[in-house]
Amino acid sequence: MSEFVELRSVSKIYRMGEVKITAVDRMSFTISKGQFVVIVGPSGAGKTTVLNILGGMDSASSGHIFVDGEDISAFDSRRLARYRREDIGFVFQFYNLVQNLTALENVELAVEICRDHLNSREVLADVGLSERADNFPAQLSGGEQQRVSIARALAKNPKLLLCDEPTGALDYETGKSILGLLHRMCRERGMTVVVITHNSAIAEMADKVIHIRNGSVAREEMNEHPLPAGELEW
Amino acid sequence: MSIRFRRESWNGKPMKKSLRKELFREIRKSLNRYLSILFIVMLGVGFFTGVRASEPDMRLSMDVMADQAAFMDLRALCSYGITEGDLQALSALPDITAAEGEYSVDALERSGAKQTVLHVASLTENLNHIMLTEGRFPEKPGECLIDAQLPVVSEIRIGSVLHLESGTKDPLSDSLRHTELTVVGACTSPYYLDFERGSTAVGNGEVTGFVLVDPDEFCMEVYTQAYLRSDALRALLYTSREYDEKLTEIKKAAESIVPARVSVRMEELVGDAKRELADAKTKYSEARAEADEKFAEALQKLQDAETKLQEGEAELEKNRKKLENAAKKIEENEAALLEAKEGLEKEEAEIAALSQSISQREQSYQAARAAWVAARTAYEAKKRAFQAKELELRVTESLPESEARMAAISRLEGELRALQEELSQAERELQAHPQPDSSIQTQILTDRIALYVREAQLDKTREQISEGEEALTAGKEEYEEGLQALQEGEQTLREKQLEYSRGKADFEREKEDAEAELSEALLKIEDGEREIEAVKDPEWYILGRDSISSYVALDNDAARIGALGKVFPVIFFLVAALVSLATMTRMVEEKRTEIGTMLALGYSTAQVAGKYIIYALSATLTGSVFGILLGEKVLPWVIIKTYRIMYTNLQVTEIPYHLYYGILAAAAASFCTGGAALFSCMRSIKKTPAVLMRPAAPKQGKRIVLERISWLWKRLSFGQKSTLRNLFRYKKRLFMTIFGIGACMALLLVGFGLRDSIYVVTDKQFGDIWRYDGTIALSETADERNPADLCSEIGETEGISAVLPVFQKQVDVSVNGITKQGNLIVPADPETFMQMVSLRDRKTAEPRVLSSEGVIITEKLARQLSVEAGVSIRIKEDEFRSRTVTVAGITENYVYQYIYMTPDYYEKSFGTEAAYSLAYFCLRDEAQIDDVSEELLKQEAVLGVSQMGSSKDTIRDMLKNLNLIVLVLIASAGLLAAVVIYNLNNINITERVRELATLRVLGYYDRELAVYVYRENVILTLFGIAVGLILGKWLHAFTIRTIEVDVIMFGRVINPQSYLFSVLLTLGFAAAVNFIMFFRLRKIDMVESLKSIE
Repeated sequence: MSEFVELRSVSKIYRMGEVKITAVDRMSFTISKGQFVVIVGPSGAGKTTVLNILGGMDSASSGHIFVDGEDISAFDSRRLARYRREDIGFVFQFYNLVQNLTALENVELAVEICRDHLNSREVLADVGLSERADNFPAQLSGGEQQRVSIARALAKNPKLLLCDEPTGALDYETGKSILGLLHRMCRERGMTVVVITHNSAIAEMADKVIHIRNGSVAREEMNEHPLPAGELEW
Repeated sequence: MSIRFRRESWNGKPMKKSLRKELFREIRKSLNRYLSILFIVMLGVGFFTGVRASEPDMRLSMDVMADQAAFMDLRALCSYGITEGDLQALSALPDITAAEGEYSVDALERSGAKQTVLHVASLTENLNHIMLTEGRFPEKPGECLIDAQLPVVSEIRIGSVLHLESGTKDPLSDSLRHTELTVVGACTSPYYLDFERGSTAVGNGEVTGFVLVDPDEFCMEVYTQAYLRSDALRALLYTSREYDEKLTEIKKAAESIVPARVSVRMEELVGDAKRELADAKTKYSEARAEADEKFAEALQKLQDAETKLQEGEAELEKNRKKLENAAKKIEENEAALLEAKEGLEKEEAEIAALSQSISQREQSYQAARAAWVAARTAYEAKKRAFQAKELELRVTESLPESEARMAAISRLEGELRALQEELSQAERELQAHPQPDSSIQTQILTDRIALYVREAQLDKTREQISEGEEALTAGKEEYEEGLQALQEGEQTLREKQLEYSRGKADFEREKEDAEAELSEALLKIEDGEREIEAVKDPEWYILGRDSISSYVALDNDAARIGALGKVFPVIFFLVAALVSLATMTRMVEEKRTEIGTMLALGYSTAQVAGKYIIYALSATLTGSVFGILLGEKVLPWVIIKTYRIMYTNLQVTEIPYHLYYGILAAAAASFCTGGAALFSCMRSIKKTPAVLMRPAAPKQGKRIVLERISWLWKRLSFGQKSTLRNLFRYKKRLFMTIFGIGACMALLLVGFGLRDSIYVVTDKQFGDIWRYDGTIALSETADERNPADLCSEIGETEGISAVLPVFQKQVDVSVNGITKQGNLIVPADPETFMQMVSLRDRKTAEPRVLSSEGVIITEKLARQLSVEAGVSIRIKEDEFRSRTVTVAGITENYVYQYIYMTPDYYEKSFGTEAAYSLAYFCLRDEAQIDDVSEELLKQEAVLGVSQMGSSKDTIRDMLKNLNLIVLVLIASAGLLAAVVIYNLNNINITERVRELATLRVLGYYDRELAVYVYRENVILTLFGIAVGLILGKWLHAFTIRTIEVDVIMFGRVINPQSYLFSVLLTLGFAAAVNFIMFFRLRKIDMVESLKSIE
């Protein structure tokens, strides 16, 4: 059976003058639909590069990336942009909310350009922020901002939700509640969620954990019984 | 804090090595920003210094050129020419290094198809060096050099032979030895910088070019003018204050010798003539006295005879009166006699009638009496008969009664009754013929007596009449005699009168002859006197270079560039300073974390701030140096080069560096950027490092006022909402962009607007306002004649359709202590004048009528004096004549200032009649101007003719230069606009790179992203344009006021096309910059979105 997401021998080589830096080296892994996947590895292991390639923000030097049966490595920049707007939801470490827009408007910002989207206000209510819909980012706490960021990603009704260190800028408790939220979305909406982190503690809540080291997959493991986010400790 | 920082940074302590390295890396990393500051500063400083330096450079070029050609500083002219003695006296003056005379004459050249007017002058040796452009100097007699301009504008070439003719009554051979000259070379003269060669009284009035010959070619007795040059002025810059002061001093010294030279020359000219005249005067007075005596004697005799005649006439008159009285009496007597005769006849008739009536009355009386007598006799007879019968009866009755008695009685009674009947009939008869009254008879008698009396009276009267008739006849005879005597007397008188008048006529003839003789003598004396008087004291003029039109024009042009340099570059510079200031501020704000880190690491504030200040200053100073190096060379070069199109003989372009402007601009620019860096650093440094190292709290989003209007807000698309919020969020950027674009737009608008304003001058002044084709200067000798006659004479010249005598005088106009110069114009006929010069309001085009209500003044003058219609102004004609007049209206006018007045009003105000010395004329066909001018100049009444067309060309040429400069300004403003918009856009994108990267991650297409960013830019650009329109309009008005000279009023209106061009250009620049920015937007790395906030 073909997987929902499949990386086939993907490499990314940066050329800095004479020097070649291989950020990702023939990496391959698969992700099934509806899985909660954590990609974990130390700094510089190539996590972000993988995420960039997977999110259509960067192209691979070689290899193929299949998402829902389509080879995105063959996409031109315009197809990639469409891929980003239709198929990908992205949660940033630093939320990246537009400061000048309210929480609701930040969600709408993403929804506006997307054909098959969800109702912004409902999504915001789903992440528990219906009360703060009209607040500006600066009036929200970090956790709340990250919830808006998640709502923004979810509202697009993407095929794939990519999260880059979603708890990186948050305190322990808030981080856990955000992870809980992501997990809930994964379960309730059948969303495929990929979380990238250097924090291996988070791996315990994943369906599948992909360990990365030096640009390639060091180890893949499946959790038969992932822990609920609330029980994680780090 | 800042004091300490200075000490550390600039007092020798070297910068820490790592910091230095970091600075260089910073520059390399943000080369874009560094270069943009550098470039903007370079533009600002370059433009500022360049334009500012243009004025001194132009003046310097003029000075250097004049010095190289050893050009005169002063020239001396005298109404009788300059003699060798004058020249010696001038050159003996202490400050005069060289003095040289020049002969010159204006002549006509007719060898070509067209007649040209040439100014023939002698070559000078020690000054006014000409530059040979072709050929050689004259070597033999009859050779000449020509104006290098002549081959261009006429058919005269090197090798041509000039056939010169006089343009005046005097033959040319009075001045020149050869009237045929061979051209051997062409040259330029420092005397003429531009195309203008001045005007002349010869030919069509305009000199086409000069011709230079050896002084020996002239056979004139005196020099036309003398050129003077002083080495004391060499070190001084022409037109500088020092030059003017020294020149005034030398001029005063030169003027001080004038009185002495005047008396010397006067003695030479009129000494002998004066003495001769004095003799003639004495002779005349003697003859005059003699004649007067003789006349007095003869006159006395005549007067005596006249008295006698008058006496005789009076007596004759008396006799005539007497005779007339006698005649009247005779007439009266005759009338009385006639009346008396008439009365007599009437009386006679009356008497005859009366006597007849009396006779009638008597007759009828007699008849009546006779009838009465008859009737009475009859009656008495009857009565007696009756009485007899009665007696018989009674007798009978007394008889017894008997039958017979009876019968007798009856019969008697019967008879009685018949008798009775007869008696009563007689009685009746008697009664019918009563006895006439005897008084009648008496009356008749009386009447008859009265009649006799009257008849007697009548006879007496008849006698008297015949006596009167006799007396009348005697009187008539007497009268006839008297009449005869009178007629004789009259005859005698008439003879005497004839005799007298013959004598008088003789006397008069004699006197007339004598007087004629005398007045002839007097006329001769007066002529002589006038001749001497006409030899007025020679008038001297000592003039500087400012008497040469091209030097004045160039000086004015330099001043105009200077004035422009005070406005335009300052704005330009301000924009540049502001933009670099914004860039610096932005940079420091971006580097907040780094500043915090450095402070935390223990670097001093001076070291931390130093980096940014040095960054700013190095960019600024480098930019300034390049700006000064380029600006002070390129701009003056371009500007002077442009002016040299017009001033072809300005052979020198001097463009030294002016340290003053450079340092001024560099210091100001450094102050702006360095100050911005310092200020921003200080603001950051005041916070603790810990605060700084944390990411800056993002600027809070805010609801804007517009959101309160929810019906509108709801309608806006998402992006529009965001755009609007963004606009108000970055207020500083909003302001900067709007101001930056606005200023550039304003500069463009000013540039185009200046062009409009400049063109209005020639187009409107010469097209709409001045409708006449030229001006005639009326000859002074003709001023005894009526100007109207003079002009109608001129008006008969072929091709002229109208002529109007005009009085023109330069006057001072003052009000409330402000004094300005203007030309007083009094046209002989205001109606015709208003057809030749249109008087109207500039804005409403409503005509202004010149009437005797007051004067009409031109707009600029009104503005300078700040007066309106109805206000009184004071006009000073000269030291002695100054009058207050009322302003009746203000009229549109662009060139020169005028006060228009009707002749009546002039007479009322100044008490004298206007002396018309000019005449305006219109042509039937404008193309004939040259022919008509030539025709006019042949007339005695015409002293000179100036053509409107050539004035227009002069002014148009003058303004064309300014126009080119304006184009340079427009180009520079455009360049600045592009750089400013680029820089501001750059800041905008750099500031928001993270937000834009996020949007890309969210899947925004490039185009959508561009729209998101550009929408703001477009709105800001539009706002900027709106601001620029207002700012530009204001700046235009200000610039016009600054660069305007007193003589000219520029248009105040910017044409719609100029608005359009400015807007389109600004939009074009914005579009171009945004187009370039599109590539930058596309290059935004999405990875930026993943980075932590700095």
